[in-house]
Amino acid sequence: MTEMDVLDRLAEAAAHRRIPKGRDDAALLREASLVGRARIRARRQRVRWMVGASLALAAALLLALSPRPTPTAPISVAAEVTGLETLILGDHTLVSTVGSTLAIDALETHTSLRLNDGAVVFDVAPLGPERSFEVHTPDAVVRVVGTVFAVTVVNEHTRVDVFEGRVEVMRGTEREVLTQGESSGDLAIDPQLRARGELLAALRAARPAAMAPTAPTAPTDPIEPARLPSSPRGRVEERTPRSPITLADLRALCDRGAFAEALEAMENDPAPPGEEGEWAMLEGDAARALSDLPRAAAAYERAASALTPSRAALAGFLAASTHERMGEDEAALALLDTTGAAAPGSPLEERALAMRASLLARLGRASEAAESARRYLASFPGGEARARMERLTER
Amino acid sequence: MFWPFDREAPARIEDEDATLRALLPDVRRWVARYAGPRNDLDDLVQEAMIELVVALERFRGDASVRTYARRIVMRTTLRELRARRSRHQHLELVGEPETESDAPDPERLVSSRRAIAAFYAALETLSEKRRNAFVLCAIERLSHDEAAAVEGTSIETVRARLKHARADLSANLRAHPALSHLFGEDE
Repeated sequence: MTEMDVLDRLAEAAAHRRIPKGRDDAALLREASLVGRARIRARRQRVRWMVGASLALAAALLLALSPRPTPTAPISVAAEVTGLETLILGDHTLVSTVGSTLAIDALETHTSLRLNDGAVVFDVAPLGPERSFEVHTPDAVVRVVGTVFAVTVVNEHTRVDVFEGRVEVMRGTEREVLTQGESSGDLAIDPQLRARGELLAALRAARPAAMAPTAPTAPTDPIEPARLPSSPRGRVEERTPRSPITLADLRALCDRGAFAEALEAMENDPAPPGEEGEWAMLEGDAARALSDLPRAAAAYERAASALTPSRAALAGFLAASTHERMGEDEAALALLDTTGAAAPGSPLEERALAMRASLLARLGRASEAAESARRYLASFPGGEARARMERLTER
Repeated sequence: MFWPFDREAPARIEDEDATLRALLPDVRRWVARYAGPRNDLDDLVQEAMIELVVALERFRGDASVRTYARRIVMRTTLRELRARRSRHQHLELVGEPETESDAPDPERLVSSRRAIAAFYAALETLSEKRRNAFVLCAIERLSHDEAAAVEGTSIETVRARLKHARADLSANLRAHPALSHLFGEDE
């Protein structure tokens, strides 16, 4: 055969090689989804942290290098496909339309921003009595102490919409107080921005009462603090009790990667009777996705004790593999045995048997490891861990 | 600018879970063909699927989902193979055991486990670009323009990489003790 013949035959043999079947596609997809979404969140948090650290460093440099704080140059929000850009400023969330120009004048206790052009929804976190938040536009000043509102500026004219709480709008010497649902100015508001403002207001209203702003002491500022949403007769105080979170809600949170929120919800609402096992499984998944391995292991263990035998074996395997990841081989082995994860008929029998043999070998129990490996080879002669198991039987 | 911001993902895939489910058999095949016979195939597939979940978040519809996914899978698999090379023996002989015949038949020898292992060991010596070109065109049987789309390059570049890959592989395989006698007639 010529060189090229050999190469072509080898490539052809590689192309026709049988692809080994996967162990458990559903488990693989589930894990990939959980871990992948956790990585996305971790990456975002890293970016936020780095940007936040850069901001803090820049602010510190600015303070150190200049005797008086100087305003920053206007920041133009870059265009993007959706047309809206979410900006995080400390505890506050800003949603801006494309092309808005914003500048930070001050960031300390008295936050002051300049909006020269464009439109932005501000979701201002509750502020204490010593803090304030102002937005300056070419023809107005908007002051607030914890609310959701939008400011639109076109050709140096300003419109203000309030979705939650209360703001004060100063136009020259004219003072106007706007409450929820009110607006000021003749301009039109971007419908996307309005929808986002209403959404942010709804989210704020849905937060537990404990997160509502604490009642500030007598302010020196002429603006009244937004102690409560300013809808008639104090909506927050009269709100009907929040309906308890359901298993479907928790699944939805986990599916979209909101693991921290899912865990928080589980802490606030106990599992309804009969669903403890499923809740514990989700808690384990969420904690594992957030790399909280001790919590994940404990949750899976609880799940294993509450679920039906088949599901318990799955929970047991997950608990064992989490302990294994933490280097707790004894605990991992005990869980495999007590939950029947490696027992015949278990959904993860193959993987559990292989894990059991490896754990025993690491614990120095060579004869038991060999026995477990032989069981694996007898049950799964073509299994993926065959080579490893064969080595264990030879020792 | 040092403004902290958070973007919303544009051009999201409608049903990401269904997309991932549909892609899984292809991902397994791509990884198996790219990495060769290994006993950690499931781990490689798992890692590829995780990276796919992350990558689909950034998918902007510049290419088809499959082309985009294949690119991510190849990149992830190569990264994993390199990371694992230092921890494990790079290639293990897996599959059904072979019976050694007294007079080895060249045809059978070429498709033997040992030959495939040698072949993938030679593939590992190639640069990423040449390896990708060879896997896509010679093993996956993609046309040059399909391979160019996956690699995000021109057809001419793919052809050149493929040519160099074949030359490198031939030289490498000729020196391999398990295969060198197959080239004997040519010398």
